[in-house]
Amino acid sequence: MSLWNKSRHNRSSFVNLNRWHGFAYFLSSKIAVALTLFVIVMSIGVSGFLIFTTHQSGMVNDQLIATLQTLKNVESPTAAQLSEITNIEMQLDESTLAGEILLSGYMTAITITTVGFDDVVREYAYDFMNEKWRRAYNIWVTVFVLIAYMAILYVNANFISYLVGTRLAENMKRRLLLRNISRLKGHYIVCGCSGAGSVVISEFLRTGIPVVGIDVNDEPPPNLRKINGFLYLKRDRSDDVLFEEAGICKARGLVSVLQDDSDNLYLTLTAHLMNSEIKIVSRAAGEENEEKLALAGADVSFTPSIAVGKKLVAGILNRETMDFMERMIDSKDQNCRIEEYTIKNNSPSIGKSLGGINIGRRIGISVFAIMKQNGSIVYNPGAGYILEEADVLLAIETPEQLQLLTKTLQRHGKRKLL
Amino acid sequence: MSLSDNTSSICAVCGAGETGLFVIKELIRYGYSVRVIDTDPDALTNAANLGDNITTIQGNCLTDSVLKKSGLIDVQALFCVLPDDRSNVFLSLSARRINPKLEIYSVASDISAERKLKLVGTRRTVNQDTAEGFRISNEMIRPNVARFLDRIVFARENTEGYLSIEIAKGCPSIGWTLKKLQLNANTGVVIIAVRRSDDSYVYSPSGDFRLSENDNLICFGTDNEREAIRKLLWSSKQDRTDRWKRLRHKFTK
Repeated sequence: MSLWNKSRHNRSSFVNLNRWHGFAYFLSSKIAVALTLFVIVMSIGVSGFLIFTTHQSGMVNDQLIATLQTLKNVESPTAAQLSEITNIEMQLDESTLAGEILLSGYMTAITITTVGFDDVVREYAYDFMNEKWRRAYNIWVTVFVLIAYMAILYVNANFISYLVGTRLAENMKRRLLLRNISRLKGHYIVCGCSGAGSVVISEFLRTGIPVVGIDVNDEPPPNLRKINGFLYLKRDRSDDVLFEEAGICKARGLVSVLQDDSDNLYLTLTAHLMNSEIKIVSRAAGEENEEKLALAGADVSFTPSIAVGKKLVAGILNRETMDFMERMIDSKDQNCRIEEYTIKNNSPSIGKSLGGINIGRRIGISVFAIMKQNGSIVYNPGAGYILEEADVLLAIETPEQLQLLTKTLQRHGKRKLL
Repeated sequence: MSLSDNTSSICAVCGAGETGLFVIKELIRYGYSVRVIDTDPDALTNAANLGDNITTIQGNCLTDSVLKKSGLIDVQALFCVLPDDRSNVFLSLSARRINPKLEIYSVASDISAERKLKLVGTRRTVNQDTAEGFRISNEMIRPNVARFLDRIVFARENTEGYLSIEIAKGCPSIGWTLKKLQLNANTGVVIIAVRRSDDSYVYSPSGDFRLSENDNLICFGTDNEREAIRKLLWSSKQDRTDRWKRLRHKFTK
């Protein structure tokens, strides 16, 4: 029994604490502060104006009643006098307490919103004040307007920052992102942006290929944040919707490098069902899962240990080559890679000689090897080498030079015709 | 301690995890004999099943006694494939103390660990993320380059492939430009890069590139082509000026 009591007591106190905590949290929030400030300013304004409009209302009313009496005593009133009478009667109706409060509220509102000022008080009260009261009124208005102005600035700023900082900005950002993604075509989607994923993304972007990255975090990892043109989606909805948003129907490839094999398998399957032509590369942490991923639709599945092991063994077998390759891959300042260019079957360059195109002079690169369609490699092709269909030209070049090469080889035949 | 008599072809692998097993498999394929050190007897039996030339040593490889027992003195290379960076650094350091001539290869999971491993004297470190990432991106955007590199690096017979030709002190070609040497015209070889003496690279050097001492010419080709280039580089100045004169003569004629 005591146990039960204790636990219940604990629970209730916990709830209480929570409620208090919630209330305190609300009080400490800027919106609450702004609201309170607004109420305080309004009440100061209303009470101040009330004092100044009513301090001599008794005297004003007496005067009004007196003039009303004299006007009513006139035997045959003119039209002007009749309208004066109705005017005074209306004024007397307004000068109840409720009317005064309403008037003060009106005054306060038009003052703190800087819409207008002074039309009411001048007419009703200012002219009847003595010198002391007028001074007091002027000082009060000065102080009040300054305080009210600052308070309203504060309220506005907080309100706007609340709007901008939460949903509005979030929605705008997302919509902009989605619009950018919808413009992409032939891009790559990378699931998992840390570790190997970040290497893949930066390598893609370096080559000038658009990438959409997907991960569970709010923001991409710090080394990718600075890169221009990297589009990042948070994995906060179902994978189908997410892939749809990432434009999977127009994408060229998908890379899935999440830590968990079942996650990779599920993403591979989803992507394959949505777009059967997309090229999928997926990580399999266990060697036994490679086959399963291939069944799910992955074109290439590999275990990370093989990539590492291969590089380790390559070091002992062929050290100089690996050092050279490593240099090209890892060094940050050198932007060069061994790049390939495949001659397509309708390319105008087929049948031309390498010397005729003169890549070396035009672009400043040298083709050191050509892979033929049957898998054989021609090293150091001379100027007399005739290009054939599906030849793969290998050269060391920067992304810009690769673009230039593509342009040159595609345009070459046309220029000749002109 | 006579585990093997051929010193040049023994490798030690510390850690028989997934990567370790793959390394062992590849080393066996290329004809090395392997010593495996691990604490887990199951992993060791797995490793032992991979081939004949495998010796297993059970024990913690972070202790000097186990390292000494495994005979690091007559081993050519050590592969550190333990799961965490700290043990790899520690292992490299203690192995280096036992055998200063050892080639050490290690995995690393981040850049700071790589730097420490380099400091300890590791010959090559492999970053897991980088290795994986580059494999994926190569697979995606340049599959043929990946195939080409695999073929060059893992070539069984060394007839064709990567050549690196050093221009040693006293070579008569120092100071000549590539255009004047007519490397391409005379040997048919394309120089893809030049490694300077300060370890920087010049990629796709133009004809105006002037050779200097301790440069390394890098190209792909056969052993015959290597000999041809070497012959051309070391041919005396007199020959070359004669050849130039002959050429100019022909031209003016």
